[in-house]
Amino acid sequence: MADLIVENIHMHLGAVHVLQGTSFTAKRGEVVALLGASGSGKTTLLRTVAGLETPSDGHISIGGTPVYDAAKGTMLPPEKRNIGLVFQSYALWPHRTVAENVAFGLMIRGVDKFTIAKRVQEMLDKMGLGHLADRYPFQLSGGQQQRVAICRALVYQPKVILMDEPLSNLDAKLREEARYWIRKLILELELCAVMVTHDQDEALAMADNVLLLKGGTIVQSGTPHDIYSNPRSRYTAEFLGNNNVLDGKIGEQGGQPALVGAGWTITGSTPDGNVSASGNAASAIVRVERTALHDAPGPNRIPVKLDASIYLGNHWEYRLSAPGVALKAQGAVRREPGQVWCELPANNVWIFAEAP
Amino acid sequence: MAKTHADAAGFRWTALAALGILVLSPVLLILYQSFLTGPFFSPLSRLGLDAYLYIFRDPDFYRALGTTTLFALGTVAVCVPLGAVLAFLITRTDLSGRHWLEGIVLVPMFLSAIVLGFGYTVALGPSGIVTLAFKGVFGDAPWDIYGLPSLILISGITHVPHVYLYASAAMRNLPGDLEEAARSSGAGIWTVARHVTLPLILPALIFSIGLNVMLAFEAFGLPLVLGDPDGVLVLTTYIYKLTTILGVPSYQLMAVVAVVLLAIIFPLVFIQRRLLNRARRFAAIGGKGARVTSIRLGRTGQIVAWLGVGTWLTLAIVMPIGGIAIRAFVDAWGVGVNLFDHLTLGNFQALFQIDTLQRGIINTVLLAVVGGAFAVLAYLMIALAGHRWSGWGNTSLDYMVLMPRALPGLIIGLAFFWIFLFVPFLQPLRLTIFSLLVAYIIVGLSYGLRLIQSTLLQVAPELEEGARSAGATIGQTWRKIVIPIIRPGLLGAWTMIMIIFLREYATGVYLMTQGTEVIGSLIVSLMASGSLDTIAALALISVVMTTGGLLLANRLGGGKIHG
Repeated sequence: MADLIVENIHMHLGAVHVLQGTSFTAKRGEVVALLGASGSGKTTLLRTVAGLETPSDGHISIGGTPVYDAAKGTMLPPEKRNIGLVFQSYALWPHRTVAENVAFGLMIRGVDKFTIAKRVQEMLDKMGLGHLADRYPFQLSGGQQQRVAICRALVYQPKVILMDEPLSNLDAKLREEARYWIRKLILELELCAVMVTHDQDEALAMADNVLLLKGGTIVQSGTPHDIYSNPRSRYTAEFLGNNNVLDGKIGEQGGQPALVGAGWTITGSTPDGNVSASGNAASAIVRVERTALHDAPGPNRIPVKLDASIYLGNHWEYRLSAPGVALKAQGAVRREPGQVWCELPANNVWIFAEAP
Repeated sequence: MAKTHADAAGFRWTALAALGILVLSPVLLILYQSFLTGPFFSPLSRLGLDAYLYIFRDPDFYRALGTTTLFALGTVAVCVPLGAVLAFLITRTDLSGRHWLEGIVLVPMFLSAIVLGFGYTVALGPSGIVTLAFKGVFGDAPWDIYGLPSLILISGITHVPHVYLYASAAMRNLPGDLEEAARSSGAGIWTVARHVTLPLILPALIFSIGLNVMLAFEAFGLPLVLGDPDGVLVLTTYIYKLTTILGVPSYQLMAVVAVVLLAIIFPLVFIQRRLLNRARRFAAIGGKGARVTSIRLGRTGQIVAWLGVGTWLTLAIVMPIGGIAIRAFVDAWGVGVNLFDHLTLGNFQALFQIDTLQRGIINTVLLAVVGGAFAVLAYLMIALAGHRWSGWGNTSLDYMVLMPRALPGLIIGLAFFWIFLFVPFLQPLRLTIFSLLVAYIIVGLSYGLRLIQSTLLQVAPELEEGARSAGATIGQTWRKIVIPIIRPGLLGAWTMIMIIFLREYATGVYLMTQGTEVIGSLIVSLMASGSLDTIAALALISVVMTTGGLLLANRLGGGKIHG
């Protein structure tokens, strides 16, 4: 039984159709990531779940209770939804101490003072914040503030925890740590978590299920591995990872779909199943890390000129060019400029015909 | 959508209804009264346009209308250039003492016009202390403080802060890089000022023109003190004079003039609002906050600038306040009188011997301090009712708040005087300070509400959403999160409202009976009898109180100041 069910949510902001029939579910012990570029509707979707935005159609239930139902006219306010919400800005109340911030949800629920004190302290201790209970938010570092925000959202054991870009205000090192411990915490406490992010690394590292949104609809969803290695559309393929894009015309070679350019042909697959007529414009997308350099021709290799090697610390990046082609590849050593062959392995080449 | 509970709709609509009654009843009553042939309480009165016909045939009305227009335009012509230059000197140059000036410059804005007007008469009037001193040295003083030209000049000089406030804010928000870009491409300081700075602060200047036209149409104290003795009438003093023109209270005639004023000022209020929104948009473009290096004036520049600033300070602050301060401690002056022989505290003793005056002082303090707190509470309720509320409810709230902005205090006071006469169960309250409090709350409404709304806007929506999602209702969120966070802002608003209420004089003119005296209104009524000793003592007390209020506001980091 899913703890969170979101069905066919539509929402309009003025004339803009921000959410166009979005559906997903989430269950305990699972992290769902809503991933998308800005303006994709991911935050709006999260806010409709929280009850901070009113959709125009659809159904949402949390822990088996319908909290929004367009047909029945149900629209529970946020406070009736039993959710925990973590904001990008943390939104800690500046006039309350850490302990008072965390205690708020319990106080509202009429829990007695003694129990509140005990549970708040337990929660803070668990997060390594026990000694900061009497501080005010402005006296804490960014990482500490973020942990307080999570404590505040978890202490009253909500059915669903919603996180809006929870890591974006942390610096890079802290962020990688936070990814790990937040996920661990969610699994440990068997929470049902939904997070919004625009950072694909974050989504891939933290989620069990990634939902990629574009223009208010879910383009693709799946496990991080699945969504990264089996994109079903050009948008998904291009949104994730670091990519080489080749333009050419649709062709065929040895019974396999191929992309034909000026003096080269590479074979691949057509993940979106759109096999249009030969000669139509198309593009091939290959992850940069799958692109290899060779000193001799071979199958699926394109003759290119190595223009430059760029040192990036843990690896070198090669800039390659041929008429109408600009490619990137990676390697461990510096290479001298000159003629090379760039291999795009057939099982890593996704060919997408251009929309007519 | 079933979200009544979530939206605190009950509270919001109740607050809106209460506001509606408070704001619309005076306006509607004035309208109704203007279409009657006599006072509304007289059984002989019937509906008719007689009052309009009378007013529109009265040459005095047209003279007053013309004078008011001239007065308004003249005031603007004086105060806008002066205010803009002052703002430029203080915000963009290295004028010495500019930090100290910043605080002083606003003072005339906080003093009641009747007090200022009185200050000018005792300093520069025919037997004013400066006039007498000047005559003593040069034989004759080449000025006449009474009459339209002096009135315009003084009004302009005392309204400089209203321009300075907006112009300086705009100049501070000016992105420094825009000017630096112009300067680095070869333009000199004055070219930059003309082609970059001026166009960018133009919205603020246009806004302050509108504001000062409005203020001039509503002005009562200065025209009464400086215009009336010379027979110069503006619309507000014309209304005041109508009180007894026919021997009986000619309420219908006063109502007609009030309607005319409303018809002139209300469109201005709307234009102002538009302009303010536009000005904000302009400000939003604002630069990265990198301060442009201030323009160096140099030695000559400093001297010239200080000559100008010093003259203005002398005329706008030193003269009126100094005049009052001296006059309050002497019992006579004139040609050949040695002031030191006449030093006395008798003027103040009188205040404590006469019941009316004593009550006036107590009432003023009570209204400012306690009434101010009540007013802030009322504004907070209204502000919360409109807080994050969309739809036509909030729009109508917005417009209703603007309405009193178009009514001079004199007329609001008059309307409430009528209401407390008209509504049976309110009649006993007319004789209490409560009647004044209600009128004052309406007078301060749009200003006070703006103060509180701007603090409310500083509360990030997430702080409220966080409380809601943690399980708090909207009421709990307001009580436990929003109000505690804005508490400093509320304190600031309270001090500002205190100053506004201390300064108010016109609202109480008609509401004044035994028990509802306040300093300002007492001065207005004493003007007629000419008991200068008493007026001087009252005026000084008013100045001292206002100064105290300002110091308190400064302490509490009082809210942003704007007209």
